[in-house]
Amino acid sequence: MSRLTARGIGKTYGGKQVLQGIDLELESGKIYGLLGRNGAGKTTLLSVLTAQNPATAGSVTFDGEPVWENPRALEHLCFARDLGQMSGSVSGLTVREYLRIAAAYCPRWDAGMAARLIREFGLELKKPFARLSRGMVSMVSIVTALASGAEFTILDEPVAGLDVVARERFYTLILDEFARSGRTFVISTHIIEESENLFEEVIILDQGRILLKENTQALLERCFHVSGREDEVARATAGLRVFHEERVGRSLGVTVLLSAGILLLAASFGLLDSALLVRWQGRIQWIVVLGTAAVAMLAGFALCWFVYLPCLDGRLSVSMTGLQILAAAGAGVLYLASGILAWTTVRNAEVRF
Amino acid sequence: MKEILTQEKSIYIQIKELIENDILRDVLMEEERVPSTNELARLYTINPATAAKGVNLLVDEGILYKRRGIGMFVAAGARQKIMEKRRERFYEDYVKSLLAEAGRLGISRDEVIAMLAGGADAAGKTEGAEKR
Repeated sequence: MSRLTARGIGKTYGGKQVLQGIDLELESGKIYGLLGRNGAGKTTLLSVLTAQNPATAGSVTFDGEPVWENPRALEHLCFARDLGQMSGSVSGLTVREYLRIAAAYCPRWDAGMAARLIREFGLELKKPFARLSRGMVSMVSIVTALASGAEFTILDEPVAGLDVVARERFYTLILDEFARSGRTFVISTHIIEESENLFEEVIILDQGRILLKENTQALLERCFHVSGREDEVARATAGLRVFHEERVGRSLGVTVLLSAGILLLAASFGLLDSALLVRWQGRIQWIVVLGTAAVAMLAGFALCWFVYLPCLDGRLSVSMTGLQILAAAGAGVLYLASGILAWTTVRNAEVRF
Repeated sequence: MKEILTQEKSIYIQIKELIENDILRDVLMEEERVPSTNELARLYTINPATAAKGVNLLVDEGILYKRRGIGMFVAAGARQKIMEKRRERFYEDYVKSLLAEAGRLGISRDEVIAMLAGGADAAGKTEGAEKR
């Protein structure tokens, strides 16, 4: 199983920090979605991952080998750029010329597949890029990506400008190729509603940082929309971070994210009432902290009582009361440490925008 | 079997319920092969891993079983199993929400019972209707 790994990637363009501290690991045999607002750094990240753009900091490796100017690694990677964004550099080329160049860079190029897709999309090989519509330009990118045969294939905004029928077709093409070959696809897109279920994992980029990377279904499962009368909603979601808020008159709708740990805990007790879960998330955070601390305190006492004391027995002439104080102090330290640990674990399970 | 997926519920739960529905409606018969995860993925444009999660839940419940190298099949007695399971959940899934809505609208218990008695005859006609 191959891996494309980024460690501590940073990128600045003339003093402007575009990417910052990116740690990312992509495994083979998955379809990833890369989401983010305009200007979040998606294209820059993708171009750095495929060594088409040097990083200012950090490293990108494919199965442990650096990808930069390394043909052995690069033959497994294909970055199908959003050609609509770089019309300057390709506008003079015809579709045929562009695909010929792409084929030269992809050792596993599947000419048969390329020809099939060109026919299906009705692409005219003789047309120069300058005269292609936005959708046609996207189709050339899609042909390049699918025909490249690369184990890790990255598509930047592949559905931009495509009509709804063509987008549907694109999704099934990806699924067919994925079923056939198990190649990894990374797809950046803004059309989330259509494609969310296509992705096994989503990566969300915000202002040059990775906000989260999580299994799509798991993320959706801990995402709740709570709506109703303002005061009731506010009470139910007290203590929770609200990600989206809609107010109309007395009604309030908010989107909240529960931590994965809470859902696991709830599921293990057979508690699956969403309303109850939302209501308790804020409190459960405290229950977890206090609960862990209490367990730690007991463990501290037990440790001192059954292990530490017998060891000292007979060798030190400290009174029992002194040792008890010692035990309590030890437990107190453990109490604090584990409490803080538990608190940060629960807090970090939430996403911060 | 293609139906529209909603955003209300997890996709793999919906895949699981769609297969169950097809078994209940005799679209899929016992000992018959069910669509592969790749076929399901393509049909609903979802990730094969998600489709597999739904199918595997049914394998765990003994409603489907795997034949190595051939695919997934509907187990003998699957239909009965699904009916029993859904009967157990009927109160939670349907009656509770029915009573809650009746309460909001000020419909009395007797009126609800009367409607149920009247509606029981027409129940056969709403066979194809999906909930919500």
